[in-house]
Amino acid sequence: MGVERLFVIIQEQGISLIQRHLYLVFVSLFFAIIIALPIGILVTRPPFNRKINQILSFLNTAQGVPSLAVVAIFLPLMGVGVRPAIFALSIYALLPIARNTVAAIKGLDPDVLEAAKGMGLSKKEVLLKVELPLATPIIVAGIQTATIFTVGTATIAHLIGAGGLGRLIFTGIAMNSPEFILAGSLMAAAIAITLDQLLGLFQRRVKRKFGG
Amino acid sequence: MIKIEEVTKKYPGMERPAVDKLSLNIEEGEICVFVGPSGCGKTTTLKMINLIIEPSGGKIFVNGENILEQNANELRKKIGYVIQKTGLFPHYSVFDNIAVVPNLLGWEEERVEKRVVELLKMMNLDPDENRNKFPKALSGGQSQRVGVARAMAADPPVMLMDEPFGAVDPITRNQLQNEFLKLQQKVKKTICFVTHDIDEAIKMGDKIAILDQGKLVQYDTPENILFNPANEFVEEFVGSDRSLKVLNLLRVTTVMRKNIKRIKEKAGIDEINKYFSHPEKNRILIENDENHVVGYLAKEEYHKISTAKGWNKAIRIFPTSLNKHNTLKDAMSDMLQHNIAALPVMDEEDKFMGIVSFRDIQSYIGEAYEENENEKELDENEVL
Repeated sequence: MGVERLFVIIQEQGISLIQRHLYLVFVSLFFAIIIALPIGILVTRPPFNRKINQILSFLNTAQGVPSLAVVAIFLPLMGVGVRPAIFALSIYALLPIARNTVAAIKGLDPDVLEAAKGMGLSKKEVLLKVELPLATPIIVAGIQTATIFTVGTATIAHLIGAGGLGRLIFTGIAMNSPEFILAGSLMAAAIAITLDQLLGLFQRRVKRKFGG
Repeated sequence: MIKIEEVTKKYPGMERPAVDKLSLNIEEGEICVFVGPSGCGKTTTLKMINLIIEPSGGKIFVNGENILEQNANELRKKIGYVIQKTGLFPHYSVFDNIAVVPNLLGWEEERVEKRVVELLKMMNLDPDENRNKFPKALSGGQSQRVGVARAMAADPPVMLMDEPFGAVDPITRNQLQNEFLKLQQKVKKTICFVTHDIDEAIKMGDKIAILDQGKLVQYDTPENILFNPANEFVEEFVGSDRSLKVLNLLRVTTVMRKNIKRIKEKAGIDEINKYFSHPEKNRILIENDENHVVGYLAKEEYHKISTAKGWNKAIRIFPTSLNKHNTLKDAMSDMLQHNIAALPVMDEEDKFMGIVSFRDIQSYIGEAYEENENEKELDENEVL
């Protein structure tokens, strides 16, 4: 194994693969957030809130489905390429976001909500001024989890022809070349750690802002 | 001001209604305390007044308007709401918490600012020191003060208070109660107050509504509840020490004797001899030229002291004095502490108003109970 070879691989292919990888991650996260947030909020409203515990445990269980399986399921349905990859990644990423949104709103201090209602805030005002701000730190934590998952799972997207850092890893496996495997995983890990730190920073700031 | 008519709340799957055909009127400017054991329906009743809980039957009028015909959110903005755990918004500063309803009502910034500062001062919280704090940084008593300020922000005529002082330590609770009563004298809100503590009910209430199993058992002034409990349940609920509770309720002025004979410091011994010659006169109040009571003279001591030294040496000074806001309990406590059977009551300028004696308290309360016993007997005779 040559360290030089490793650097050559990263230098030659790194930028474009990282770009593709980040593209997959961010687009998937974007869809995941805009779908998961409304679903999460909806679940905490009547009549769904009666089933809130069942829905929460479903979201937790669904998270247990292996990422490879999620990607594989959509292969026969949507074929290969970037679009089915983003579709599968979005669905996988929305689970922790939806779960945290539901758990955060469910866990709010009932006295605060009763006081809000008692002061004459409408349902919409309670949601926008009280529930969502107070739930934000936990929702951001959910997004953080989803981001790490997606960075990892996106390597599998190569299997359905979406490209990304998975290409290096799977090429390396096929060619029995540790340099390729290492290059791909190191870059994926670097992305995951960087995004995790950034979101952690953001989450702490949000938490402080909301007096958490 | 608040009229509750045959209000019922039934929860599905519950055998008896939480509130059962309850009717009562709360007059404007009065504090009405709902009290009773847990599960008696007091909180449910309170929460139906601002529609946090929807009544299953009956009518509730606030200020003459049927609340069930109103928009719940608009109604709630006109009713102050204080709850036990305050429910302050943790992500809002003290200022923003108090400003919630004024902002909802669309007040101008300046008016909100002025009102919040005014309320903080009313609640004995330094505005500059506290306005930017977050609820997390407040003590229990401070949180509760902010909670009350928030409920009063838009100056609602009606306030609902659900065990507002229940979560703080006894000393702070007493302080908050006193402050609130003082404030209420100024603002004269119509208040519905829930507590499970009969002592708090007696202290805070102009009227007390005692509830049991969703029904109104007795609705009366604290005095009448103590002197004349409607049935055994009330008797038991107010406690076997209810005559002691009366002491906490009545002011010294109710049993104070005015127009007591006083003798000047400079009076001659003839005057005193004449007074004490009466076998039943054992004590006399002594006052100075400015009509200030300086102490009292006891017969035994007067006779012991030699006339040459001057009788003034025998004057005893009162160890303490009362003011007209003191309760009979304060008076008794002072008397026991100082081992004295009577104490003077002084006004704000330290002028003598009258005297309260142990024996007068005893006979006043004894007679009040006797009267009620007689009334009861009469009632029973009528039934027969």
